[in-house]
Amino acid sequence: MEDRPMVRLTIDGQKIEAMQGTTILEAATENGIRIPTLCHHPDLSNWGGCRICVVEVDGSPRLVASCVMPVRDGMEVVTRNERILESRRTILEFLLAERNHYCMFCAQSGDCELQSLAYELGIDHIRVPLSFRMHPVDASNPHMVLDHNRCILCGRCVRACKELAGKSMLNYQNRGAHSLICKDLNDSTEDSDCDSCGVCLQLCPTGAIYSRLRPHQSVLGKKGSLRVVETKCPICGLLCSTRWSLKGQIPVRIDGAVSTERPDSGQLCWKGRFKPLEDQGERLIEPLVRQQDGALRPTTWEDALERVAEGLSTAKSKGGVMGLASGGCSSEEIYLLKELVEEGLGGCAAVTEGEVLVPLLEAWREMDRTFLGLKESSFDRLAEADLILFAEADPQVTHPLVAALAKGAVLERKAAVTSLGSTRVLPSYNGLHVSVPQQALAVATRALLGSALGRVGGVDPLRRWRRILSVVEAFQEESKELDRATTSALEILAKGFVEARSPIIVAGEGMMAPGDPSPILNIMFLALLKGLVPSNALRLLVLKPAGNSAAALRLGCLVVPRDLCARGEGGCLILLDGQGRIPLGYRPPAQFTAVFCPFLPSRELMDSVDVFLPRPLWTEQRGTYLSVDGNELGRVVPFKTPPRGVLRTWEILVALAGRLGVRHLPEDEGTLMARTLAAMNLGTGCS
Amino acid sequence: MSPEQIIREVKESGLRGRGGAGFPIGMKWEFAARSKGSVKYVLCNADEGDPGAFMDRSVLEADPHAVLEGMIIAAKAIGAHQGYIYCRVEYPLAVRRLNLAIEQARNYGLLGKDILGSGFDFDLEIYQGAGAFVCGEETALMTSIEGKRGMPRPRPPFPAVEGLWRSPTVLNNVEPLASVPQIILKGAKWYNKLGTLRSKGTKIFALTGDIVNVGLVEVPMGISLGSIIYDITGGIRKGRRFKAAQLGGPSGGCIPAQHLNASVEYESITQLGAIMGSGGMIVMDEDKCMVDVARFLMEFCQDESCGKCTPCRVGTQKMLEVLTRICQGKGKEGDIETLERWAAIIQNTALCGLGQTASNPVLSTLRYFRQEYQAHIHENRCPVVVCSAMFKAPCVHTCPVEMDIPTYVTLARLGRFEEAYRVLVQTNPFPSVCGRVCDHKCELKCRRGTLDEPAHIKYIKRYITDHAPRPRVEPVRVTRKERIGIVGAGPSGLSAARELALRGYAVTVFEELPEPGGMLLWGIPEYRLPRDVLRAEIQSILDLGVELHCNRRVGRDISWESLKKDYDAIYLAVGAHKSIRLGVEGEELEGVWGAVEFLRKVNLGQPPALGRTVAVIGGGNSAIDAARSALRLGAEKVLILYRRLRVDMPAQEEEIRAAEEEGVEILYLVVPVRFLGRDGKLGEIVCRRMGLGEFDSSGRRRPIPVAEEEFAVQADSAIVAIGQMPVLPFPPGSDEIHVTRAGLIQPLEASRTRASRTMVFAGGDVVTGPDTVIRAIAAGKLAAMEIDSAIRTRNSETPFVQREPERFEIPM
Repeated sequence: MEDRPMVRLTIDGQKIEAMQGTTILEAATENGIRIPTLCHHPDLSNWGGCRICVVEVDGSPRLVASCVMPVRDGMEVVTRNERILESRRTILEFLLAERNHYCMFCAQSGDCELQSLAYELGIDHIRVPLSFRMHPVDASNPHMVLDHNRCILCGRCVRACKELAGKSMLNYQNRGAHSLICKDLNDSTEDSDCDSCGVCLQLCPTGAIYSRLRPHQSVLGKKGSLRVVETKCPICGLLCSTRWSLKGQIPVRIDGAVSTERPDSGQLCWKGRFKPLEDQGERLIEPLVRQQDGALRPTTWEDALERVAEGLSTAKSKGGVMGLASGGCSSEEIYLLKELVEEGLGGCAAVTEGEVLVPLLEAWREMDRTFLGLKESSFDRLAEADLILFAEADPQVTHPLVAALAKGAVLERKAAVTSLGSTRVLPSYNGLHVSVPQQALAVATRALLGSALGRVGGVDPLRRWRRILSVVEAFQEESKELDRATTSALEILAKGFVEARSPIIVAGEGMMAPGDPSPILNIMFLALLKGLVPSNALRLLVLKPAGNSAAALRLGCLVVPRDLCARGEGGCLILLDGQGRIPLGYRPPAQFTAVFCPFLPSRELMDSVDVFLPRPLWTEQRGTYLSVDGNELGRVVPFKTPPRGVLRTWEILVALAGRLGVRHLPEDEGTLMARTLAAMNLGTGCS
Repeated sequence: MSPEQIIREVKESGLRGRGGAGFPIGMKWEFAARSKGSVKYVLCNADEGDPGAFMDRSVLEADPHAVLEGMIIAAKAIGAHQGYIYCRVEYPLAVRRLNLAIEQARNYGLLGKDILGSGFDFDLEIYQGAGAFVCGEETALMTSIEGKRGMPRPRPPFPAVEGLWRSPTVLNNVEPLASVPQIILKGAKWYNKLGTLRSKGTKIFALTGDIVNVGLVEVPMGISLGSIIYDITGGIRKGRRFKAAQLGGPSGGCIPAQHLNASVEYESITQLGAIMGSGGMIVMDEDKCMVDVARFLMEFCQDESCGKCTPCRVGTQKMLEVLTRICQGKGKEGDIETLERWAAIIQNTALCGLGQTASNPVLSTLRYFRQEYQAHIHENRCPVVVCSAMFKAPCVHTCPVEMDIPTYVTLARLGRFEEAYRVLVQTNPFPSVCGRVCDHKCELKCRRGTLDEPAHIKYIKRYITDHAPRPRVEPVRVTRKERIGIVGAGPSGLSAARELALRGYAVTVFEELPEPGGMLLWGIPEYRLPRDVLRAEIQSILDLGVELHCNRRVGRDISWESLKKDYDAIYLAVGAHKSIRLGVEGEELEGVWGAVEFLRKVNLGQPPALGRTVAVIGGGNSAIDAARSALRLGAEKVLILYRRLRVDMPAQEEEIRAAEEEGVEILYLVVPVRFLGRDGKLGEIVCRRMGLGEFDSSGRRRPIPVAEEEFAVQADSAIVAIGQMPVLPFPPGSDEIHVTRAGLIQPLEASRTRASRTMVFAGGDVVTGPDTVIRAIAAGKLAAMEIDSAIRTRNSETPFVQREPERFEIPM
């Protein structure tokens, strides 16, 4: 790009220079000359459909669309004169008259490019007779509505679905005046392959695709008064960049940081885009303490903390204390809980999804015995893979963006998607699925590894990989458990994997059965067969159950001894994020239980807990999160103030520690973060 | 030949593409040859989508090898190794034969690897398009071959630089590609011998529409449009007149009769608002409504718009809505201007050729047939009686007074003649006159005529008036204080008088001659219109209470000023009672008569002595009347000298035939140059022979002198019947009445009969020039209505409410 020659041209009398190959629109925008557009979007390919951006070139009567016309040396461009404005106005009137654009009934009013453009061009009434045609409305999706009545057929959604999300499930149907946007083969959003990533919604310039979750927010006012915040989304652990638009404290919409430069193009998944907008119940805004009569009543923080300290110190002396945190809690919270419970009270702390992570940890330890210092591949690698093997993973549910990247890989780069396990992943994209029940995973993965090993050839490395060989040798007797069909399917799977140029394995939490690290270990060895990717990473990505599971893994905060729960004594201190639940095995073990949670708890939980303490949401307090692959550290800076009376978790934990006589906890946020990072074995410089 | 030599030869030949711009083929190849890249393509556009066009199809089916050879040569010229023929799926035979030809070519080593041992590889395959019109646009065609939705993409980059799969591509139409082998074989000079300066060679046209012979013709460039239509295809069917030809398919434009001389070449056709395009030519006769044609073509375009760009997708839809509305008689003031504004914007802002040219049919019909649009919008009338939403029956809509033809024809069929007569006089005060002398345009539009022959509406009318008693007429009481003066007791003046009297006005009619009737009495000879019939009808009008003063000429017996003082409104219906002179030497000789003056003398009963040989000059109804009257006065030999051909004669066909049967001799293509006299009396007429030259603005061939020599026609009398003009009863400049150069009164802008701000109205021949009886009646009725409404408006009264017409129960 840099060495392209420059051309000189004149736009509205202003002499400017632009790189050859840029469009008039780009050249004008760079020089601060505004040309209105509708179908154009800087992160999408040029389309040239709406014709709003027409300009006059060299005085020719035929106007050209500046968004697609490349600059030429000596070009004379006029972007505004009465003729051009009249053309733009008429085209806009055509658009407004074509379908049913009644701003007063539109959720997007005030945040609509069509509407703003009408204001800009001074359209106070429409001279073109309206068509009054009824168009269908597709409201079959819980998150988005596609209302053809407000569609201007600019095709941004079509291009976004193809170019940004890589799914190509949106396109046009019919011709001319009967054109409509359609999904797949004219399916409704629900029946189609749409995974509600919402990138179409984000780029729609009108109210044709709008969010079901905040349609009423337009009453709060115009776009200009919204506060826009960039933040990482810690919900599933992929740490996508998101852009939140807030009106006061209320989030109105969440957008992806769209950019063609990122491997994921800045698309979001339905979790990141819509979940925080969902109604999650009433907030808990003051501590609740169980009284003598057995009822929970609100009380002051002083009183509540006193009660918790009392309960925990009693428990410590009786049966011991355990701490539990949801995997979505920030690293600091998990670290503090661990410090308080393990160091201060001599108990044991874990994350609620910890049991799943234990086999993974064991497998890594096993791995480390032979191959030291390996790590998981970054999920960005999916954007380059030519074969993606899903091992007992369900990315559509757990990590939708991983599914989206896999779809994009199939459609855009003809990559192959294969899977192994109990469910067929991405059925319409999947080239080969080997159905294996969960209990047979160990055998199947060993068979796969054996088959792959046979195909890799090359004797020398095999000798070095004694561990792998020992695994495979032990296989002979067990192979009887697999039927012949599965065995031969596994052979094909192994062949595909070995022959792929740059394969990557995505393992789901189902690979990590409690107490048996062998399936995931086999998969790790399989990944190893195709060599490493840069920065010493395996061709493997393990989808962990919660957003910050990777941090828990680092902090070693995984599991509490079973006997501690089983004794039915002692105390329990629980941190719950918005989505967290206490896993069944832990409940209700203790004589005394205190829970931090952001929302009013369920009836079930209410009966077994002695003290509830309000907790801020992740948007309301500072926190560090480790990405699912453990390679990226995301910091969330609070951009919402918690409701009155809700205090930051770390302050409460430190205050509690004070009451319990635990003195070594950090006193300020800075120290806390530094010590958390140190505990996770990550320098502050970690990306 | 090297690629450079091929390109030079093709450039020299002047071969041009068949797209809207007619881009030179050689230049296109040169650009593609210069483009960098090892992968290039040659495409053949065989997606012939224009309605009524089938040139490409016939080439593909008859000589597919010509196209293949052209493509191989093109490939050699630009360095391509792969080609595609984009052929529409509706041409299964063409596809089959192309496949066969490709197979044969491969067998002969003309396609494939190392063609004829030259080391050059080229192969091609057929891509079948689904028949979308837009896929004839080059970028959409390429998108379609790529397997995507056929939508055009913006240019630049042009296909020669970045086309199919982003590689340099040459796309040509079937026809030029098929010409290439011959050009290479016989040389550029052989090809560019034919044609004009900028358009070389020949062009194939697919001729359809209202012509005698439809089909394909290949003509040299530069031939005139008229000679294609009249000389090659045998002219218009059923003897109708040519109206317009739609050139270049739905995105082309129409060329009207006044441009029949236009030469068929790229530039001149573009100048006329059409395009050469692939060569579809739809010829339309006078029965085609141009608004309806524009609507049809717009419907096609909006249907075929791909929907990518707004101006084309919505613009065509909205224009179609307006055109449909106009055709339904729901047009609004300003619709024409809206159409023009939108058309210009769509033309200038649309993405591809389809959108840019979609408004051409509207623009070109507006350019040449604006008055038809105006009639639809302002008069709620389709002048050629096509837009059926506006009328009950075509015959009714054709009739200037909208006689209820279906009702009286049906009543006549049932034998209910009395009632039928009542229907006649509802709208027409002169049914028995019209039953004899009307030009019955209604019969031209009679639906039955499309089956075999039209119903003889005129004679049915005559039969009714001849066989049923005249409906009784009672005097109408004068209910209004305004007095109306009418000058001229012709059909127009009397019709106005009747209409005004029925509305309760006191009406006075002034007639210069001794008896009322105007041209009905003084122009039309008695053998055509018996006097008792005429007098009875005039009497019915006078019986209503209309006051008539004969032998009173305004301007001579009554002053213009006093007339204006005495009457609240004046209707001028003085007709055109002065013959136009030929303006040649000897016209003042004794024995040279004007037709009107001659007929008036005959009808006054004072026939002039004509002698033995009479020559009548002209071809209209007056000429025939004069000729047949002359025969009846005892002339031995009556000649008609007419400067054009019989088909061009404005007189009614049945009159011409009658004249011929009575022995009148008609000389065609003859024009008198001077009258020679003996002793101040006409002796002979010196004439010159004419030939037919170019087409004039009426679409008829203009007579031009073919030979210098003259010849004489012996004649004792000559009657000049080449036209009439009015004698106006007021001094020039009175009341700011606008008089045209032809001596006719021009009504005010917003009205059709009002001649001045001072309540002077005019109608009939004095406004239109010599015209038919029924149009004079219509003008009289219209004037009455406008006079009435002007008076009521002035008095701030409510509008006149027409009495509900009598209804007749007709069993089905």
